[in-house]
Amino acid sequence: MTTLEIKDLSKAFGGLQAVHHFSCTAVSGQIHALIGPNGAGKSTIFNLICGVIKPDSGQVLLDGEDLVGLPPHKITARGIARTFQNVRLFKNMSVRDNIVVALHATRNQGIIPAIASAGRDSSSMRELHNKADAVLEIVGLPHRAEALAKNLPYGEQKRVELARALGCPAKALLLDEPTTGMNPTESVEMMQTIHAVKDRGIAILLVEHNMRVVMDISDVVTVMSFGEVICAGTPQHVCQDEKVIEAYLGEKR
Amino acid sequence: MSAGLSMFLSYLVSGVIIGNIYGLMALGLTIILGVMKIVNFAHGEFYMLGGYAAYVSSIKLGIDPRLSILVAMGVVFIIGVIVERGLLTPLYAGKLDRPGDYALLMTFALSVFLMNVVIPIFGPYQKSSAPLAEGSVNLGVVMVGKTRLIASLVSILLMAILLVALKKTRLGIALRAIAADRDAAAVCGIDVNRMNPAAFGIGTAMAAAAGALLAPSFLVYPACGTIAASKANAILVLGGMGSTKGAIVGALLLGVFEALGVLFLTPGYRDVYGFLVIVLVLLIKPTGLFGSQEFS
Repeated sequence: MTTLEIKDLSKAFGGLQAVHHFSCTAVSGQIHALIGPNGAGKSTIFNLICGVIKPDSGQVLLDGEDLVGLPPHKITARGIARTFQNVRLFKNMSVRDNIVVALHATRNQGIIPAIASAGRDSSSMRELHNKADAVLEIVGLPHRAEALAKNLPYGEQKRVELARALGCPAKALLLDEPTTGMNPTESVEMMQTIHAVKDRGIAILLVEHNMRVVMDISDVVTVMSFGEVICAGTPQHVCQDEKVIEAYLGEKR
Repeated sequence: MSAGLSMFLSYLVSGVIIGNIYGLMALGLTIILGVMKIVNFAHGEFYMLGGYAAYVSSIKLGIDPRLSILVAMGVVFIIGVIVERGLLTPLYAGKLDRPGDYALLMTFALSVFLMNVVIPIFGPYQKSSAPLAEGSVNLGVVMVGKTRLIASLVSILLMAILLVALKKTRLGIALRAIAADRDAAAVCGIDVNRMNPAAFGIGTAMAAAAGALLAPSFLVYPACGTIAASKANAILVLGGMGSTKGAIVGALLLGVFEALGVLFLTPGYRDVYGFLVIVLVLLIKPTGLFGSQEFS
């Protein structure tokens, strides 16, 4: 059982309050969607959780441990993995190597151990390859292991990015617009994959603009506008909320 | 075979031989550029230190000249790691608005410092390290000094090891990931900042290998790295900044153009021909031959 609890997170860029006292909780076996108009601060929250940028105040608690202030690789090692809004694969590397990079995280690193183990690398490398292929199996792309990441169609690149995140020792997974730019078939496949990942006991925090996806797969929805939470609850609850309708469609005349 | 053709081939071969060693230099610079996103303006001085290390090791300490190359690489790798830890950590501490400018000024200052720091130690005079082997080899069309031939073969070997290591080892894959996308690599769990000393050490050790390999044939003196470094920088521009393939192909092209320029035009402008070609390539294809910011 994993709990990712975000408490009172705030971040300002100069005069712009990008995130203002944001709180939410994602638990394992649940999909928690984070929605809101463009510029509401959703991606900023992901960057704050991952340590790519540091919050001004607030806590990010993974099973009770505060992760704020740790560098990104340590946060990943604690169990938080993510995908990016615009796919950020290592384009000129093979699909398998992309995942090997993530599997790397669970191993000791640094110059001396890496060079010292260079001779033994072939056996441990084979081990990593097998693990990478197992992860590719989860997202349904085992046949693409050898391909260069940049040569895959966009939908498959997004799935490779998900596989790369699963290659990290993930307890909680942050997915930034996983179905954006996909055709309906690809989108359905992606949702099935996300479901399968959820059933493995991983807590999922999801940013998504496609409301069909959000309504279909999420258990809890948090709605943001201008850096603040304006509503939280079940999908049915939030789509009837006045403030949500206002944020999306504008005020009633 | 006509005298003209064999003359041409012998210059071609000597161009390829020197091109391989330029390749080592340029590959080192490419690793540092790719991972750290900085141009190391002191690269030539690490080449110079490699030359002196080979000189001390082979002449003063009497170590086998071939082993001296490894000694030079090891010594300069350690110096490189110390320099990175001591001088370049502010680059990624997040306190600088313009880290690129910091890197430029710091490595430039380091270049001048290293050039001057060796003068009191070794004097301003030119040194030469022990030859790697005596005599020459007949390659059919051309006689090549064994020392140069071995130097060229060793640089091919070192480049091959480096390229395979980048593809096949965990450290190599991590370095390539960082070169491709630093933030994504960090989020994948790589301690990106700890990879900087590795990249800088490896890159400077490559420069040292080039310096050590040329130390028996070319002379070692405090400013001997400047021309080597400017060639390496030119090769990077020619090949496409950050591309390992571009660095190697660019280096071979530069070596060959220089040799042919010496043959067909005049030897006095040896260092000009290569740069002339680079200017032309950039006018036609500004991204270089293999324009890329990643190792590919």
